Amino acid sequence: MKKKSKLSQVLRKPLFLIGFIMLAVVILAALFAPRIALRDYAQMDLSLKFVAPCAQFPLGTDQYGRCIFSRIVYGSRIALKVGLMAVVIETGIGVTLGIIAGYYGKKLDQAIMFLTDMIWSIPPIILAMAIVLLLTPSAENVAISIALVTWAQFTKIVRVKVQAIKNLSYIQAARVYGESDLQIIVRYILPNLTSTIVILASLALPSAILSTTSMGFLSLGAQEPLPDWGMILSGGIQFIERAPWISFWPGVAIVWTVLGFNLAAEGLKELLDPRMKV
Amino acid sequence: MSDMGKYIIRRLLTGVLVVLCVTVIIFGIMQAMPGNPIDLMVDTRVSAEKVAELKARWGLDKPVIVQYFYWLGNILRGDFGTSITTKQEVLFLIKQRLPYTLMLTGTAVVIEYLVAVPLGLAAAVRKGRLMDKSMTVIMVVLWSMPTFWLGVLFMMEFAINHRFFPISGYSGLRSLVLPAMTLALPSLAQIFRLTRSEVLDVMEERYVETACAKGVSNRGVLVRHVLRNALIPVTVTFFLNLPWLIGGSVVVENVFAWPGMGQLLWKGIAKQDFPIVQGITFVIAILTVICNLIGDIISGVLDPRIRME
Amino acid sequence: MEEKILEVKDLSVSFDGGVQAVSGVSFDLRRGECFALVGESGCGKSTTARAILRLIRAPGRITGGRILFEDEELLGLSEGEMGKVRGRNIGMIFQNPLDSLNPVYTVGSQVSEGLMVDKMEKAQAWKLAADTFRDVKIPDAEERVRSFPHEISGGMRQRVMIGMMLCRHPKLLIADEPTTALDVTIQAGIIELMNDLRHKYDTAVLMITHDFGIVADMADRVGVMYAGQIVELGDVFTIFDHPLHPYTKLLMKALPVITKKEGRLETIPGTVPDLSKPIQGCRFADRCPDACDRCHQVSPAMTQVTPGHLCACHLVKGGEAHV
Repeated sequence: MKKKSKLSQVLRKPLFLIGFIMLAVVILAALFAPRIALRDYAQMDLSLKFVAPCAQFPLGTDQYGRCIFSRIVYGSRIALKVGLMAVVIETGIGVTLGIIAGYYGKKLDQAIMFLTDMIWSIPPIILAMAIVLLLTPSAENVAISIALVTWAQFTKIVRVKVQAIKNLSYIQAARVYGESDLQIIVRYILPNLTSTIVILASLALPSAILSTTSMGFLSLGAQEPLPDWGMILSGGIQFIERAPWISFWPGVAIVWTVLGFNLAAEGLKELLDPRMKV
Repeated sequence: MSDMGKYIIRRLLTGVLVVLCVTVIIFGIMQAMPGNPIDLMVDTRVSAEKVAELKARWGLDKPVIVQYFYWLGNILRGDFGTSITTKQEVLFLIKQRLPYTLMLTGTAVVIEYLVAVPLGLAAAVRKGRLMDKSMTVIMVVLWSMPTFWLGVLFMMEFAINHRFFPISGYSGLRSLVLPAMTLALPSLAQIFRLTRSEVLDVMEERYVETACAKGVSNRGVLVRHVLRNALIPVTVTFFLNLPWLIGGSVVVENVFAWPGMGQLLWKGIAKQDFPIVQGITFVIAILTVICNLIGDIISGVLDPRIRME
Repeated sequence: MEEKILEVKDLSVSFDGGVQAVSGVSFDLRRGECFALVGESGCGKSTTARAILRLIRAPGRITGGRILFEDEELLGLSEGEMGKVRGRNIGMIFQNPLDSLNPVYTVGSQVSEGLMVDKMEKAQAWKLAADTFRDVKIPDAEERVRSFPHEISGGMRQRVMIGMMLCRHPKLLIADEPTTALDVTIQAGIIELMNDLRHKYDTAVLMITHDFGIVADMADRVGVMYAGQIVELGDVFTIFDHPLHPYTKLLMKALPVITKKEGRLETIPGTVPDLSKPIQGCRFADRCPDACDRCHQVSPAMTQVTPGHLCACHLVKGGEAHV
């Protein structure tokens, strides 16, 4: 009853509603890309290069005569897939290490904290670049590299939460009953972390997508002819005076998606734990 | 101030430890790369003796641990090797590029702090009013913007539509304006949000009420008590975030063809020029550790409680 | 009768959503007198204290009444003029002396900040701060002025607060539960210090507390608050010896009496009414052991029982409770 009214409260805030609608558009575009796109994303036509936005090509064409609109529609799949993958992996690593550090404390805690400090001492993009370089550029490897440089924020927050939870009396009681550490973690600690994890993951998703496009911009993501938004944009810069639409519209798509996720994440945070500090 | 001295020494030692670990990571990545560095570094026409000589110089004929110390020794002497593509000393290239990167990130940092903190304070003071709400919306939008696209927009508007600033490259200080703005704006949003929420938190503190009860003017309370305390976490986060800004400069430098390290790094990566990649990564890691150290020292100066720990 | 320095008339404060935290509170303070406002937590006594210095923050708001300090209406002053009253004419100390001092400044600089508001030179202000520290019996005053709040003990911090607020010789000091956060062993010292200094400087004290021990030690007169209203008011001896309001009586019973063997604490059954809704009748009626039909319907007014002893209860008439 109370939860329902809270949900409607959040939905009544215009910004969150806008966020959810923006998200819905992106998700629909990704799901129904083949129907929405006007052409295949890789279909070239050199006689139609640098066509300005018109009825046939709503967002114009690039230097190979490919339809920008169709490429952007298909690109939403890459952005969402890589973003989600990165967040799933980083949540997994970050939460696991956070629980271990918080639950066991002492040496393990110190070691894990030192590791997070280290990760934070290398600019994430540069570390991610190095990792992608090691793994060879592709969409999946971008997701892995983003996850490997961002898990630390989960660890720090989860660790503090676990430290607080593990001293609650009912968990102490479970320990006295002889339940194993794993049982205690799975049955008592994880359920207490759910909202924290959901909030952190929802806030991490837009920045993961943003990082994805940055990697794409540096040509380290999905490779041609796949339509990575960041890559389309960087490819257009050299033609910026002649055909500004090539670089302009992928940016709109990125801002639309990231903003949608950010607003929705704020709404989710408001709903689950408005006072949480991230 | 002996507390402060001990505190700085402790942070300094941690910094050195972190740098050492970073070198292990770099070395690890280099080791994991397919092929050995020498084969990557020299092309096939180089004579076998030359290769052997290089291997001996880099200690590649020794066990991995020994190799690491050879490598570390070279790195610490500033010998990052020679670029595979241009055949120039990597150290020379970095020395050439570093000032430009420092100029760009330094300017962006100053813009970021000088704009975000006053705006955050102003929004907090006017909490819930139009100015606060509109600033918050603008900041979420900025926060959602990829730097490279913001750069493209600036380029279109201020370099192509109106020829206020050069479109790219470096030709005097006017070239600095667009890249610095591009770099500063998205990360400004985070400092704004943090300042706003910290100021709101501090306003709830009892000591602020004490200051009011003493009859200190509103302005005095806001500056001497509220802002002064809110700046502690803001400044710490600010320095912690510098690595992100330095990372962001890699992207921005590529948008504007800025002649800094970021562009060099990207070219190095694209051409698999490992000596360049390791050299720049090392230099940037050192810069980051220095930034964190400065952040620690400043927070120690700002907050007497930290020195005691 | 001595000159009144503070008169609070019909003061009301409400918070966002219509919570009436304080409704129609009236009392006064004479020069050099100590008046105690007593009640459970949440009864509106701290809000009343803050309202006098106009320190109520949004979403709270003073919705009615008058506050006269030396016959000047404080509610009519501009924010700038109010700043000259705060600290200089009326000082205030708070419950927790750690929260109340800014962690990033030395205690000396925080004491001198107040003095510098009065346009005193910095060097002189620091000298006076050290003098003040001796005044509040802080050992090694010259050393301690350079300490940060976290470097000194809770009792010392509260001494600093008292010194900070008394060094400008205000005519009125508001003390909001000044000993609640301190160890019992330290409390007595702080109360003794406050008593010494208020006599030395002839400062009136408005003491906010839930502790009848402190009331007995310091107060000349007492107002008992319940759910945003004063329900009984009189001099300290009358209230202790002949409490009339059922709530006051129950509060007295709740006092732990250490001398008796069975020092069991009696609690008052029931809960404080929800102040966000309009209340019909006496606010204490639901918890009152003697409540009758009239109590649930008509709100009792404060009436004088004997000279200087006021009580708001239908069951109290002409000096005796007729149950």
